[in-house]
Amino acid sequence: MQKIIEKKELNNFVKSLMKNYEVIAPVKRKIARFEILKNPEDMYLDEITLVPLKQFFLPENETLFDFKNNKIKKNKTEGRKRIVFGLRKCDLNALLVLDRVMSYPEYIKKRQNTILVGLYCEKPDEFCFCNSMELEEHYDLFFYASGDKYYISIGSKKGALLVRNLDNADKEVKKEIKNFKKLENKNIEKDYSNKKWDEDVEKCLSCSACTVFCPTCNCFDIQDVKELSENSGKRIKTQSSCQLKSFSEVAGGKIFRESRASRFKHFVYHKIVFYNKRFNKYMCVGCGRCLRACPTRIDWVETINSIKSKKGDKK
Amino acid sequence: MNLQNKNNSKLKAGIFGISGCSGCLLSILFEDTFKKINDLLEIKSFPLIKEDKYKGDFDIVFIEGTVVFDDDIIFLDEIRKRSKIVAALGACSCFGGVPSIKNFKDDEKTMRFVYPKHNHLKSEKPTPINLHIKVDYYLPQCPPNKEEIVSFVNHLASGTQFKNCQDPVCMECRKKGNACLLEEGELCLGPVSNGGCSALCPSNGVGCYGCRGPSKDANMNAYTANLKKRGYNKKSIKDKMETFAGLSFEEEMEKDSKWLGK
Repeated sequence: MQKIIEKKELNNFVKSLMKNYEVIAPVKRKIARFEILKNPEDMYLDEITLVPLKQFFLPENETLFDFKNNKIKKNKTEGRKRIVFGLRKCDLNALLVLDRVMSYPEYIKKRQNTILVGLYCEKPDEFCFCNSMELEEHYDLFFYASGDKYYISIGSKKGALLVRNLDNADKEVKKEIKNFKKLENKNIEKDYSNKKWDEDVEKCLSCSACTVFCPTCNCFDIQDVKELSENSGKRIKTQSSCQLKSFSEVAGGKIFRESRASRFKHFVYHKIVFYNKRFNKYMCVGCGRCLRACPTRIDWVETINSIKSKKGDKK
Repeated sequence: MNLQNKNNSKLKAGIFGISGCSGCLLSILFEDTFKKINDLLEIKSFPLIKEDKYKGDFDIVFIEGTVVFDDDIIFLDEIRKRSKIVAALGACSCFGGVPSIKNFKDDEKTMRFVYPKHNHLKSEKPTPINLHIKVDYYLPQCPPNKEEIVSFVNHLASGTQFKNCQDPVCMECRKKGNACLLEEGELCLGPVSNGGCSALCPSNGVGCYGCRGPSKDANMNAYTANLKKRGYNKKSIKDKMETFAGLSFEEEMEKDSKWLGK
């Protein structure tokens, strides 16, 4: 049974949630991003955010532990209860992707303390291709806009408790997202050395914008930072990117992915092929943030499409 | 290089400047940077704040500024002989910095523009210090990053390896969630410049000037092709590059000579 809420009541509803929870929702600064909400009116639900949600689960800099004189002191993760509001289908699935690979306690604790509230994507833009990525239904609550009302689907007990005071809906509203862009064929394992990739690689600046804004990219670097003139310090986990040369550098100076081509293709192949081999799911959720953020407008989705269509012609 | 001596005393340090604005030396004095490095180093010479009477050897010497006069070279040679490690401090001593803009202009014209009447003055060519002596470490940026100076000294004192940031400015900029300045119509050298500054300029709405030098992994061809599409001409790109790290961008260009249509 779906619940129902008037669109103009939404801000009041969010305000009531803010009493007991930390509410994270999309806001529009220069670019749209998720932020801890201070005022419900700041909420911006018109378009997909460019900055993904992952910083709230995988912070840019995270202290794993402190050490002093050979003794380790673990940091306690804050157990604040959070609600994330206005997540698109791709954002929700991105968390599922991370769940499969991230298993360290800080992450799990943050995940357990978070309630996910989804929102149906009214207007996917020219970069969205989520329909091609076989996404799942995963949410605690999911809002479908229809007329001047939101119809709310309930996905879990946690979600049901939040909306128990709202009216029941008279009908069921469910919609499928309509994409314009498509990833035609995901079976690209044998196309690794296709020459079509070279055009993209030539354009690549290795600036790592694609990986920073990807909601499922989770590569990291571990650094030990020593305090000045004392036998103490901390170990921190920082966000890194496979597009950087320094990422695959090991002791002795050997760099495993020296060429730009190998780094660029690794990004695409990890999303579509390597991850799929292990988990039988795609790592890419089709949100199109990598295409949107690229300063040189590299479109690897079109590249795959053109590789595949060319082959079809030959047959 | 392991500098730790047996009796565990502090490393002997000198902080000098040659032709330059002394801004980098000053940045060591800002906030608590000086206090922090003073805990780890025994600063024997620092002519900016105290008369220099020390005649012995150093473990580590920081040098700010560009080589312009013959005296600078003589001074550098002497310091190199007296010190185990030399670190170039700031964009000028690493890449030539702002003074070396002159190297890309017509010598005589520039000379007459600045000194219309003083015919007895002769024009010199500003160069980075690594063209004259061996430099072990570089601490670029204009002015240098205070945190990087402290972390460098910390590494040196504890005998661990120090490494400059090799990633482009874009990485740090995008991690902060900034909007891309190129998209907003600002000329930004971020994609081809070395990071390590936490994207200071782009975060404040100013396009990167590349004061930490060109990134080793820079894709100059793709970058300039992209800028041309956005309506920038060769001159405006070159002017921006020449501001702080001109000489080293020039080197990078020569490697990738295709991009300027040579």
